[in-house]
Amino acid sequence: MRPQAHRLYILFTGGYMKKGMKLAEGLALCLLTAAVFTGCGKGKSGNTKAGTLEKARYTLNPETPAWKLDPEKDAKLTWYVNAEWWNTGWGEDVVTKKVKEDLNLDVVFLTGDDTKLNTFFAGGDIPDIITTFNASSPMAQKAPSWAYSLQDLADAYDPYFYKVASKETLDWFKLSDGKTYGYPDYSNTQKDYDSNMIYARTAFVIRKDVWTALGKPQMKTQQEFLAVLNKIKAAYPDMIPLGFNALGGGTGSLAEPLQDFLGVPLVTKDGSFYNRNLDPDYLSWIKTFNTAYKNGCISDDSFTDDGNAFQEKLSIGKYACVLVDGTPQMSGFFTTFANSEPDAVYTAIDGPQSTTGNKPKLGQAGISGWMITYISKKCRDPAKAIQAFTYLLSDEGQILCNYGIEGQTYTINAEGKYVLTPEMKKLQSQDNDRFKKEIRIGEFIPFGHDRYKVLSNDAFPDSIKQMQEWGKGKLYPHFILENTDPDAGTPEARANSAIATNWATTLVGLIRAKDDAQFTSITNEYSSFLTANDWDAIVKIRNGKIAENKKKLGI
Amino acid sequence: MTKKIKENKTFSYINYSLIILFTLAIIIPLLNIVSSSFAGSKALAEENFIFFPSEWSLDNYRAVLNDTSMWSAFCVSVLKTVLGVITHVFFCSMVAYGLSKRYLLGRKVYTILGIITLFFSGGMIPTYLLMKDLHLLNNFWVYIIPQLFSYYDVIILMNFFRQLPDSLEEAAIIDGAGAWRILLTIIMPLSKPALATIALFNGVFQWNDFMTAKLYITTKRTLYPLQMKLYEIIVQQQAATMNNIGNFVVQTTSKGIQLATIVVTTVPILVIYPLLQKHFVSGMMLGSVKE
Amino acid sequence: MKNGWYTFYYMKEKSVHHIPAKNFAKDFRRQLPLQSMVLPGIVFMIIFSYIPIYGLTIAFKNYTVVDTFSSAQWVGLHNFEIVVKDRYFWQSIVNTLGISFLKLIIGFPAPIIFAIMIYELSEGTFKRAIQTISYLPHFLSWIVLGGMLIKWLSTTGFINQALLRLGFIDKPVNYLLNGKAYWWIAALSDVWKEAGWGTVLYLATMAGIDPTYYEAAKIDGAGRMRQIFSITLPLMRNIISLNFILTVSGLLHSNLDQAMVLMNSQNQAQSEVIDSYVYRMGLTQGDFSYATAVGLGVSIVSVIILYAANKITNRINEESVF
Repeated sequence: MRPQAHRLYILFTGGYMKKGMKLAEGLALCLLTAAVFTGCGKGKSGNTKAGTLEKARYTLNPETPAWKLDPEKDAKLTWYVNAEWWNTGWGEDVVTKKVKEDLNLDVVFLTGDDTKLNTFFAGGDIPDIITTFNASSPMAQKAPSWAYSLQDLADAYDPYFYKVASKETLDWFKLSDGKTYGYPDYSNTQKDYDSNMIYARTAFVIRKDVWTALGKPQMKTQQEFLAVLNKIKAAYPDMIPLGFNALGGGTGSLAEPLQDFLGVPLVTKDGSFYNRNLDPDYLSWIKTFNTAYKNGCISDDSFTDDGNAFQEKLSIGKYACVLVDGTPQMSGFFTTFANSEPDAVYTAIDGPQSTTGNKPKLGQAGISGWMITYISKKCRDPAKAIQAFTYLLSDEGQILCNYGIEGQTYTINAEGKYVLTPEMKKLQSQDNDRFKKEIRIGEFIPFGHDRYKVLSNDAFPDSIKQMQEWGKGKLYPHFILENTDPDAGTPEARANSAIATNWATTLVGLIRAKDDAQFTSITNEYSSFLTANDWDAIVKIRNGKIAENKKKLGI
Repeated sequence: MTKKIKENKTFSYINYSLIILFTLAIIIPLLNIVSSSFAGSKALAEENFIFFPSEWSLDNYRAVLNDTSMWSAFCVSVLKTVLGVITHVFFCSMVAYGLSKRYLLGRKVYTILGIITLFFSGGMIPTYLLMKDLHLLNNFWVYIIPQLFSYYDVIILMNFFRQLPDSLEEAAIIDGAGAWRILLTIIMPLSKPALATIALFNGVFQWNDFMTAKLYITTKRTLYPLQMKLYEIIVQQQAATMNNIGNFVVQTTSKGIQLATIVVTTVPILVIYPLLQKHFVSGMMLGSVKE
Repeated sequence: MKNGWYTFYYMKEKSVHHIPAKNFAKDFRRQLPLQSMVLPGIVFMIIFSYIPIYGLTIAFKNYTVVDTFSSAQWVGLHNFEIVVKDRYFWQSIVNTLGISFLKLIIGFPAPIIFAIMIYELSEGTFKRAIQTISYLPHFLSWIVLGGMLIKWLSTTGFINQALLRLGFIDKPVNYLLNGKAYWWIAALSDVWKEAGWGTVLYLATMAGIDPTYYEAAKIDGAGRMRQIFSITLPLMRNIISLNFILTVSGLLHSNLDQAMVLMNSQNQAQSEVIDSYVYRMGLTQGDFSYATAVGLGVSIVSVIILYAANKITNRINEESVF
């Protein structure tokens, strides 16, 4: 650089340097202070409206759903669903078009994740209806501050709500003030479990051609299990003898589903928390899996495959046996394989059984359900919102959501079963995307429930029907363990998260252990990890929550 | 002399062979990805092919391109990219020119202010609230206005401008030109490589960006750019596996669709880049000033 | 001519040792055309970067999904305490630094070398084709690339197949299950993805080099390598320094997308980076404060590193790149 310019540079920055630095510091400080004060002011237009409910514009009638009584013709509501995959259409497809007509309601759907949801709260315009997925989050616990209670709404606008909502579910979701704020879908109560109307969603399946070729062997005891896997390995070198759901950083189907097959107890005999991961029966079966791994019957790839890879392997029948969690979600892939090789369909058989005589305790959705919907205190038309809840929870609404309109999309056959019309069936198989968009049955599920699925033989694809049959009578409610994790944001929650991660590593390490010594040492490491990470405190919290659950269930 | 020619030839040979090696290392996996996007779902699962799946299929592309609203999204993408890049390049050049003068008063302050913005950010929530207050939500200008300025790009341009000889400006000043005139008629034409680079960076960003739409376009879905629509397709593919609704929905391999998505979005860039490439040729300055 | 901003040019000829501060206003007015070019940028930064900075106060509060900025409870340095006491946080820092260092050592020179090699090619379709191909990996998203990597590194993937065929190994190995290999996998895949794109900036810089320098050097008898070291590299000093400073100050940054896809239970001890740890601990539990606190800490440390790196490169170059 030329000397003159250099001097110039020093001159103008040097001359003003001191001033410049002070200026810079001063400016920065000013900006930061201003920023902090802006922040303090933000959100003063907060999220607490008066929250008082106006009188209804029609006369209430406990025998009639209020949507039939409401004269309002032009209701509009915003509905936020905390999931990015939610289909945001309204009024364009068969299902929501009818809902729109019947309720005179126009809905604008918003989607997003937790951060998006918070921008609504922070900015003061909370959507009218909010659907989230976590029954025990801080948001759910703080519901009284931002949502109306369903009882208040029902009393003020729609007493018929009590007829369609399940009492057990409402009780389960009651907060400490005795009121319920959110209502879930797929909430299964004890009655539902007893009625045999819900199906199992886990299974141990084997390719039919392999099973028949080997003489339909049993795979119930550990010796039988290993022997059959070895035979498969010898006879079918192109297949992987044993597979399981993609782990995805967790434990896939290897922890809870396997424990359920073995009937590992949920709580101790006196009703307190039991660490199923250290159950001796379960660990002995993991040892068996370890032997299978050493025999080459489990591929290393199964531990790193992502969801896509697992689904692909299912659809080409790469695995001989699979421990499956979530058969409805995998049904499409089972169907693809079944279509390409009808003799080799995956069939559910009695897989690993308890060595101590426990019966299987298969899990399903519990009372907490899955999607939980609230009506916020900023709702423009709370009357219409609760009417929508009632409508969608009723048989009429649910049949609409699951099957559409009689005569148009379905008919009822001689046996009283609901059947899709031939055109619908054609559309479904040939142009599934259009089917999803224009018909949308089976997809609008914020208030869905499995009991409507039994009305039709088509509700589940053929490929998993046999697996569901197999599961009949083996379901066991896990209600007592629901929502027992430590509250988010507490030190115990963080410790619990670390423990869960450690367990995932431990489990895979156990299955891949080189010898018995390593197996034992890994198990011991896990136990010491528990002690080192507040396990006692976590257990105490869990016991407290189990006690609360018991009270709610009336046990 | 022959030694020099031989040395140059050896250099060329080594250079060419190394380049071919590196390029192969890049291109082989890429071809695998492209052929995977054309593969039938069965072949994709078999995973044993490198270039030639046993089964070719356009299913993935059909799923991606079938949507008619894809074309309006395409127009939105083109518009935001073109408009965004032009405004961004001009805005940054303007600021960079001022900052390139080391005698600019307050430069140290400006520099510190700029550096802080590279590292500290309030996060998504306050930015969302700001956009709301500025009425940029559900508004096409949310793609343009927040992208006008990037301190990193300004630094690059600044350094580039500084490399230009002062004599050029001095000549213009003698002719009576003002700062704006100098910027537009002298500095920018001579900085084509740098401007092209900034344009390319920003253009690629605008083309690929879907976060802006995801965060700030909530109700007016006609403003979705192409990438946002493709993102929706991928995410909604996963919806089916999320729900208990395996009944009425048929699965296509979402991986195949993701790959097709990538190919579809990258092809336009492949088409545009060669047009920009001529600006990366050296020798821009030749003949402008004799030192 | 006497009162415009360009009068500063003429001051070069005089030996002026200092300017009294009270001329600030006058000089400012003289520089008005330049200042008016810069001020819109400053205003922009204030609006879009500084106003939202109040969001950093979340780090000092207990902020959940249903909170507004004023309703969230102030907890002071509590979040920082939790972070600092967490053993796994420090482990994630080690992993982040490890991967970043590898990326620095391999990935920083790579685009420069590659750019020079491309630059030395003669003009033509081959050169253009190579350039285009080289930056294509940049356009892959990590979700897709990660999925492909899982496939390629699996026991049936093509890396194992190639190694088997070439006789380097006799049994296929799933590399992602080996924690020790993770840092290399992460760094190398990132370099593969970004090296080509990185050449764009360097090629643009090289395009601004006066070709007469090369001609003069050739006449003086310099070979190609000599030309590269004496002309090309020195003239790219500023851009290289700039990128170096920014890369070094970005050592604590991690690639969340990559980590989320490639992480599994067996390599977790090596693959957990700061961003993925914060995501698991903070955001999945709806704990925004935790994430913001870590982000703030990382930013502060990065600025300190930047300052140090800038000081060092200032000694090597004559002038600052800023």
